[in-house]
Amino acid sequence: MLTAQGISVAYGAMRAVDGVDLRIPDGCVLSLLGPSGCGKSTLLRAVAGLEPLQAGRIDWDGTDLASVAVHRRGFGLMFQDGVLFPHRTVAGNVAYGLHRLPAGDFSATPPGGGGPSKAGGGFPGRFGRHRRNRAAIAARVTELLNLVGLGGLGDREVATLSGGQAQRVALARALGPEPRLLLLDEPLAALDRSLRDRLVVDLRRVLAETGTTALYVTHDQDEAFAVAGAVALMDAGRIRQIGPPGQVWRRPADEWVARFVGYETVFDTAALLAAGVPLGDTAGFSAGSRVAVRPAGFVLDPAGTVRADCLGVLPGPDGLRLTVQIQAIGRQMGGRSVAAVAALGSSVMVGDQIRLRFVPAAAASLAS
Amino acid sequence: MSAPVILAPAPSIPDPADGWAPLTAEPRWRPALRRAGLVVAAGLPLLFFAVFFVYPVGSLLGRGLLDFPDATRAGSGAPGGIRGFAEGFWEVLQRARFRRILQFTVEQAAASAGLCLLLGVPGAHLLYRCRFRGRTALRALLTIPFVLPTVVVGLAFRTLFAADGALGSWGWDGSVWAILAAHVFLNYAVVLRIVGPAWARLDRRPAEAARTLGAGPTRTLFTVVVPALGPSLAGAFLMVFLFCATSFGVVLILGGGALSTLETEIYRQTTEQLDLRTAAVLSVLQILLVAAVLIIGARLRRRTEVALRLRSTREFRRPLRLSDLPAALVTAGAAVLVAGPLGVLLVRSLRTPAGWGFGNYQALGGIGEHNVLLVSGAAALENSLRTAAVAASMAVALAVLLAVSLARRPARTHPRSLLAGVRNGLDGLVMLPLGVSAVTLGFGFLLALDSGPLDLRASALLLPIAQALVATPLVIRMVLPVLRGADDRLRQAAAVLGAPPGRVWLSVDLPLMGKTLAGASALAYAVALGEFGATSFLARQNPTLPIVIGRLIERPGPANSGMALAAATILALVCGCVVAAVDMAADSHAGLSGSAGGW
Repeated sequence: MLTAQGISVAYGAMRAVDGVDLRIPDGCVLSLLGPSGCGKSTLLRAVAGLEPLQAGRIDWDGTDLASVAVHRRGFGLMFQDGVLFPHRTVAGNVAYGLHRLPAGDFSATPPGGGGPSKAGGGFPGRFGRHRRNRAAIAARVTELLNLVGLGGLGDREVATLSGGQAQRVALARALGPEPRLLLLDEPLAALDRSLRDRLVVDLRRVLAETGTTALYVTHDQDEAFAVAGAVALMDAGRIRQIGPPGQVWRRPADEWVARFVGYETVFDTAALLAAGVPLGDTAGFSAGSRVAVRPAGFVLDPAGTVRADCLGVLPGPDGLRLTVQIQAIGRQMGGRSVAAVAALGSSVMVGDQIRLRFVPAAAASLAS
Repeated sequence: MSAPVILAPAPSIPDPADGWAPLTAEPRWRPALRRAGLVVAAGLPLLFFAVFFVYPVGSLLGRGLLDFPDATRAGSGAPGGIRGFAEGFWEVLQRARFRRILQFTVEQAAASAGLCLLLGVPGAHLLYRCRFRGRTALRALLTIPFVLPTVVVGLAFRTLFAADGALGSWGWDGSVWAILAAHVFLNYAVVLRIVGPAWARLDRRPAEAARTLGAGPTRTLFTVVVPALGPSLAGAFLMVFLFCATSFGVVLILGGGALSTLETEIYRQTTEQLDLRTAAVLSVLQILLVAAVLIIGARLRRRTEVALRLRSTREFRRPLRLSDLPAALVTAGAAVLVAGPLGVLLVRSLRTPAGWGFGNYQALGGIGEHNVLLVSGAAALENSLRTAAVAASMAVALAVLLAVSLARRPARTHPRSLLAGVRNGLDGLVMLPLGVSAVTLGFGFLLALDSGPLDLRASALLLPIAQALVATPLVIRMVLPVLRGADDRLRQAAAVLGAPPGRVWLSVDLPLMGKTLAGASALAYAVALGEFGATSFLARQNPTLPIVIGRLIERPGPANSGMALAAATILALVCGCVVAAVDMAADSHAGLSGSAGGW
């Protein structure tokens, strides 16, 4: 289990990571989500041992990692753009971390079984051993390449790979030594949307199949929620909220988190009630707290209770996206507009006076 | 903020830490040992430089400037110490002859570098951005001159322009034109190798954007391409300038008595006038000149190395078009300029007083007409090959050790540390042998390394050490950009995969610089083989082939000059073959770093 307590990393006067606490139990994937420049990659590099800590402590199963060098931590790291070794083939890249493979066929080790153990904990990374285990390594490379869906590409030069293939090789390479903890630094950010959607599914499958403990850094919330069992939201060097995706969605810690995960507007409960939103019918919205609402929280409906002026209409594949001003609270919110949705084909024009229905499922009460 | 993340792991998950050694804190001594290793890696070559470069050169300059009795004005009570230094400096600068020499040094170097750029840029376009049959062969041919010993080049051009030579009617014998022609011949490849790869890897999209915005090819070239190539162009200019400003063999042989640069004047003052004081002042002047050029160059380099990424970006190459005709014509002219003198050298070496044949080559088995040589030409050749091999291995070992410590960029967390400053200083220091007169170095060796534990005058290592000092900067300049341009995350990826620092170096750094290192070794070998300035002091008893050539052309007799031509041809062939072999080996799998290591 990884435990980080109060860790800080500074570049000169700038605190990139500022007093962060984290805990990742074995076999879990924690996703670190935040806008670019929030310090999430720096945090990941600090865990890997690539950035010196200014304060705090990182432990693995209770062992302080401060005096454990990068190459002895047994953590894997996958970069945004792969960073494959250009002078090695695909198989050569995947095999790089396998030099500590013990004698015998690794792939035959039953899951959970006592694999060939390291008697005495001697450091096995020696070239002689590497030579002796060539067959075992080749078998493991094949297994890894099959795992990431690149079977048979072992002899390719890495320069000939596409972006998606390169990332798969990087994943296989990072998984090769069965890292205690796999660190993924925006592994899909450099790929295009459709490829990313496919790879995210594969990544989730591979992490689950191998039971890898992982820290997954990304700025894309769809990716974060898809891959991870828990999400940590980070802003300006601090963790704003940490928890399972459902919890983050249902109860964002504060306005920043709410906006980051897609709630576009935050209302005072009192203002919503004044606007005709029947909050009382819904459990979980307490008086005095604030409520965050997604665009889908207000739907065009002639029977709705909320009166609004339509300021803009934008067609999209799933329906119309409206920009509206709710009449009762428009002035209170400084004239700010609110997002709403309507079914495709609805007859609504800019300047219309409309009625909206509130959808409680698309709203959440802020924790603070 | 430490809300616990509790998620039940899947039931049958193996312990992922199975294959790893238990996590134990590293013993304290291990990082200390690692740091000590780095210090030794940087310290060994530094010690070498201190003992074999700073000490000899410093003691020669010291004796000349501070306390060596002024031989030309013995008894006049010339003052020593700092005052003597200042006075000596002033006095030398006052003399019109030395001002003329300084001016000539700078002007001919600037003119040579300018001509090289004018001729070389079209060549860089043609040979690195176009695709045509024979491109590789042409590139190899145009690279040969750079590795030729200056004595050979000087002799070839003298033969060409001599009154009875092929171009004797041009009247260039002993003129500045002959020197410029020889300098362009020697350094044409420098422009090709610096500008070519940069141009081939240039992002083409800005130029395409300019074309869509209505700029014609010429306007695009001068407003987009040339500015983007600016650092490479300036770098090439400075490099050629440096080589020409310190050129020795060419100026000595082609300049006759009339034209001299600082370097040849230092040689004359030291060996003919025995005026160490003037020689020392001129040496300091040369060091200042070279240091200024190096500082400007280092600034430029820092800008370009950032841009250089060793990602195997595909190089852009297109078939020839009609618009390439001017470039093709200029390059063809350059090829003639390169092939001509080499051809003349070869042909004339086959002409003996008794008619055509290999008589001159056979004569190399002896010691020449009137017994002008101490050893036979064959013995000198053998000595040359052996010495150069030792020197090249030394240079490569030194360069690799230095590159290890110089290539590590300071961590982002403390970018302006003391370490970074030391590193920049080191970077400049190891380049200095490029600029310090080889003559000064050679004579300094004779003066300084003659007593105590450093009495190496009789040692067979003295000569290779001097040659290694001259070759090391070139090797470093080739290897360092590759290591610095390499993505640092490659090393991090290796470390995260469990590779200790030693294995990171062996499996990442070494393969990345492998091909460049092979090329650099060949270049070091060629440079050592042809080294003339320092060698002329250190190899009097046991001369190398360039010294033999120099001695043969000083002496009269058609048999001697025939022998010189034969020896020069052999030297040219050996150098050409060594470099061509390595170049072809590197070009045959030139996907990755094929052209990344241009000097």
